[in-house]
Amino acid sequence: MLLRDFFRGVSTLAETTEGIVEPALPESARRPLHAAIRAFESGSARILGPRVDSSDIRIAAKFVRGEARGLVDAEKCAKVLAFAWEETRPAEKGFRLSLSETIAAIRLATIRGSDNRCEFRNAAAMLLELRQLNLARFLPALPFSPAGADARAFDSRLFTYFVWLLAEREDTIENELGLLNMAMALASEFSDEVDACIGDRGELAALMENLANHL
Amino acid sequence: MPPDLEDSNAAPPLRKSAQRLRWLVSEFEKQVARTSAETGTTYAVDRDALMSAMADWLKTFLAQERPRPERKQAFVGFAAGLMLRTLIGKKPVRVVAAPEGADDSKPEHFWPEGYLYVAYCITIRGAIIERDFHGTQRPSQMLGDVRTWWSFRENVEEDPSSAIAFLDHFAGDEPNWTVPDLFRNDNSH
Repeated sequence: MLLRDFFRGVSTLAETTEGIVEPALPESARRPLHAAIRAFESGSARILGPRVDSSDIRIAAKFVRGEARGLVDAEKCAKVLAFAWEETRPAEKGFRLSLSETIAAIRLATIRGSDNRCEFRNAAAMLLELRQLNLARFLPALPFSPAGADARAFDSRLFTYFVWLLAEREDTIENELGLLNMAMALASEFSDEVDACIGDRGELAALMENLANHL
Repeated sequence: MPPDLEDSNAAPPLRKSAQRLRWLVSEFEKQVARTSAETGTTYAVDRDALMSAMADWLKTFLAQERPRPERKQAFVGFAAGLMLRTLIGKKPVRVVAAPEGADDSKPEHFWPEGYLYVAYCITIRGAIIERDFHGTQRPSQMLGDVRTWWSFRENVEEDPSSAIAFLDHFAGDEPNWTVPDLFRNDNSH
């Protein structure tokens, strides 16, 4: 988990460095830089994406519903969130945030959640709590929190993952990825509604329930 | 009718399944395969555009006033028309290859993408009417008339909402040509 976080940080740093340095370089020097960074990304991609299976996703789904607790399940949930984060990254070019799987696991293990009987209200309470904990950074573990458009993008992603996890499960990872992409499309289509209710647990729970049921 | 839609053992009404993105996407992919096999046209599906179209349709659908019980069947036709309008607007498929000797005097070759979208919407529409309402959809002969398709294509370019009326027309129902994007809970349409 720590190794994956390390590579996430270096990968983000490499992308940022490329964006800053490349325009200032002569054409002859750009290509080798570009090739070196792509080679690094290709190698690190295999490490970055945590391997998850259907049972990990089921545990994560129980966790966000408030039906599972404890460090082991929190680690599974963090692993699934990191998996979703990496899987949905290509959809948003220029997205600069990174999710620390280690910090997410620690935070999820200590999260208060809610004892409400409604799974969607539990999930909404957890989402709002996670939102305050700044799980996403420009570099994992560094204390530079997102603001403005980055914070909004982080909210949208968190909402996507919760809607996905609250939906009825699929049998294969391929189908789960399809479902995750559908959740992304829904979160994007309903972005104004997400923004409007992100601070209100009841409204957020209702929106998540509605969209999860339509996935 | 596609096999999945014939299965009457499924517990929920079909119109409920048709409000779920995974079902809509899966049926769309099956429709692409069926239409491709029937017409010889090879399509490519842009999955991101397809997801976006389905999400867009769902948002529009959820924003509609709920139909009265006696208008539920008519609402199925309206919702299918909304889907047709969305698909035509979002263009989630493109033709990769037309069959050899494709005849432009046939709707399926005159406008292959539009033909696929209509086939998808009319199939789901008919299946829901049959299973949930024990009714029968009787598609119009206009469905095979290329002159109607000329008009269809030209009209939806000018007014995308006319797709809603055209789908009713193709499905053998009385279209609301005046305000096709307004579902009336009274019985005037």
